[in-house]
Amino acid sequence: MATIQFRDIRKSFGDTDVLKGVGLDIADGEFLSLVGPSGCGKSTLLRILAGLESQTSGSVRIGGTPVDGLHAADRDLAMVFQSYALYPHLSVAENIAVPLTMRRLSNAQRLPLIGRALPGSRTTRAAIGTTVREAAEMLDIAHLLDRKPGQLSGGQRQRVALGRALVRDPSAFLLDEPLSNLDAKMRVHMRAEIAQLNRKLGATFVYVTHDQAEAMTMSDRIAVMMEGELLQVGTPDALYDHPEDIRVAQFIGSPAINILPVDTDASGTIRLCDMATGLRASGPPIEHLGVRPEAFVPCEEGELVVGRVRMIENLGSDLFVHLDAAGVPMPVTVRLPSSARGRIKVRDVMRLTATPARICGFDSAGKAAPVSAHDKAHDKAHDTAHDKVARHV
Amino acid sequence: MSDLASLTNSGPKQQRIARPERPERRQARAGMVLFAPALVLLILILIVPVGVAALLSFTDYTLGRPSIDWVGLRNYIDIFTGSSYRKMIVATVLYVALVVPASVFLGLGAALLIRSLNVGQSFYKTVYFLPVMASLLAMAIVWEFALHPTLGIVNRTLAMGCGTPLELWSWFARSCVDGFPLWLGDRDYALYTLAFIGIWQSFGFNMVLYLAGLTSVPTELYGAAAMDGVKRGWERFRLITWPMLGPTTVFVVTITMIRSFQVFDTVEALTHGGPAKSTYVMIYAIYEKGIAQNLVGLGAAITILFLAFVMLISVAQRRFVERKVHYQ
Ligand SMILES: Nc1ncnc2c1ncn2[C@@H]1O[C@H](COP(=O)(O)OP(=O)(O)OP(=O)(O)O)[C@@H](O)[C@H]1O
Ligand SMILES: [Mg+2]
Repeated sequence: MATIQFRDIRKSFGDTDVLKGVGLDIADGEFLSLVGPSGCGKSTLLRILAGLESQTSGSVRIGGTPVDGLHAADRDLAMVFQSYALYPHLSVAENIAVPLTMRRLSNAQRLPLIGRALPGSRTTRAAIGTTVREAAEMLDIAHLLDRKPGQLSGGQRQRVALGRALVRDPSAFLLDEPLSNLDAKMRVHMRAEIAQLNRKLGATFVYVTHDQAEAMTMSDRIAVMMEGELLQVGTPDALYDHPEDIRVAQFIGSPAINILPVDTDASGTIRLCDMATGLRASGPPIEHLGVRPEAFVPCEEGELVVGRVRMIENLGSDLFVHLDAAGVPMPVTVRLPSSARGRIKVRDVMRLTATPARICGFDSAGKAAPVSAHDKAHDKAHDTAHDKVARHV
Repeated sequence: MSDLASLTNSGPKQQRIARPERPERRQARAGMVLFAPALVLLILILIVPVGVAALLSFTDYTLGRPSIDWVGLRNYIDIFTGSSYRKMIVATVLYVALVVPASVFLGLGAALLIRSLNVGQSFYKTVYFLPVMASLLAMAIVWEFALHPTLGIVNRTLAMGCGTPLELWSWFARSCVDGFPLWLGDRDYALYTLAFIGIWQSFGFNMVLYLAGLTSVPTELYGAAAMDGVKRGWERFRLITWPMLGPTTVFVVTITMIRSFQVFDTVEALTHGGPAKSTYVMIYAIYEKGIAQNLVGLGAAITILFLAFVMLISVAQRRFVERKVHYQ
């Protein structure tokens, strides 16, 4: 129930700049995922938002009010730590109850022994016990309530950490890779639970993850961060279909996008391995083309890429075909429907094309640049040149 | 049914011959072999002498006399009935009861304060650790000068307070008239003065142990506590620092207790157990009876009593650790 705004946040630890001017607006009730490779500063940004670390410069606003200098306890946020940060000497139930006892009981009521005898303490404690039990049941850890964190597996600890954040009703939840240690089934289950919680509570969620599939399925918007900078912030669809940076394109999507190194001549014609591709750069010169595996379609002629099948992965529902293509250092991955099963064999030659709308172009700096179909589409020279390559591979 | 029984009976037996020895077994045997020299040494230099002392404590043995007489429990009866021995127990227990809590809590307090400093951490660490490193015998001489009834800096400083509002304190006003205490020479003050020196000397050591303990508390926990709504330092201490220091505290308390049971050097240097046996602590009594007066049997009896005390502390510590203290 709060908006969050980062304004040009910078953070350095000594000489190393960890955050290099992060600006980000998160809407009320939004589910925003922060993704990026290890060490890019995701946790640092989250800790600055939480008030556990102070930024070198820039400001943070929660619900429109600047919170710089406000104690973490006063920011009304709940956080799941990447390292869980469970209290090792308290049982699971006590761990989950801490945020409630700290906020619902008075100082006197929290005192050992005497505190329990004070008026109101009994009923509040009973209510806390119920809330804790409910949270534990949702996370499937009700049978572990009496154990100490040291007696739990990594995944169970992670669920306790999640429980400790979820028992409260804060204005925003900050989750730092909360599902990284769970098994596949539990992860899918928790994904649904967290997404549902976001809808039910209407609280803002900031969710850090390495796992782009997690980010794609759960988020309203995704912020991709690399080396302390936000590369792109947008809906999962926007990031997938229109990445603004080649690194975003490579990070989002599994299997990864195919990157084809190309040249652009003075007239704007894009050439792959010295052959015209039928595409032209309508903006700055293009150095790389990005094509999603499912954007490729096999064709008889006028292809973009031609290559020999190196390996076929049959997933039942889909078929992933990996090709060694001329002029492309990495194998090209193509996703085909299951109907293609049996029709393609290893060492076959495949010709692939894609509609220009589904091809992303990137300039020399790796930024997105427009690509359009060439006016006189497939000239003769193009075809013969490709045939030569096909024989060659 | 019988077929099944014969199968299950013969099966494992045949297998056992073929099956190689389990690695745990082999490791256990290797462990025994490696542990044997330590065990032999332990028996030779610890268990045997204690056994001999226990035997001697039932005799009237003195060094140089050819005959030994078995006196049964007489040495022990002497200890528990004689007035000077009762004073010994009182002085020892009082000394321990004063030094242990004070030096443990001062050590903890100093460690917490030093940890909270941004600059000068190593300066304070050094200052507080100096008394631990200094030879207590040498320091005892310094204390003797400082506490000298008329020339010592302590009483001279106190005397400067006469005529100031400090005289509102009745003890102070009385001392201004009758003179300040003799400290080490006064039976009402001597033990407390020794305890003060003991605290001064040992809390730096406890501080170092607590500083080490504090570094093992994950800082992430303080972050979690802040998110959970813990704002005040005291709450943070109660929720995290104190429980996480549990193992350190048990260790610190035990070691301080045993060390203060063993207090000897300051007594020997400053009071010789006096005045009026008010500082007649156990180790000093052992030394005086067993070595100075050559009453080996009696000295041995006090030694056994001393060992019993130390043993009791160790057992209590183990019990406490198993029950309450959280180890990771
Ligand atoms: N206290 C610190 N002192 C110095 N450098 C730090 C500190 N904390 C983090 N860093 C550095 O800041 C960078 C970003 O760290 P951060 O923990 O934010 O990464 P992250 O994106 O969360 O990575 P991961 O996905 O692996 O958790 C890292 O290079 C790290 O080494
Ligand atoms: Mg992190």
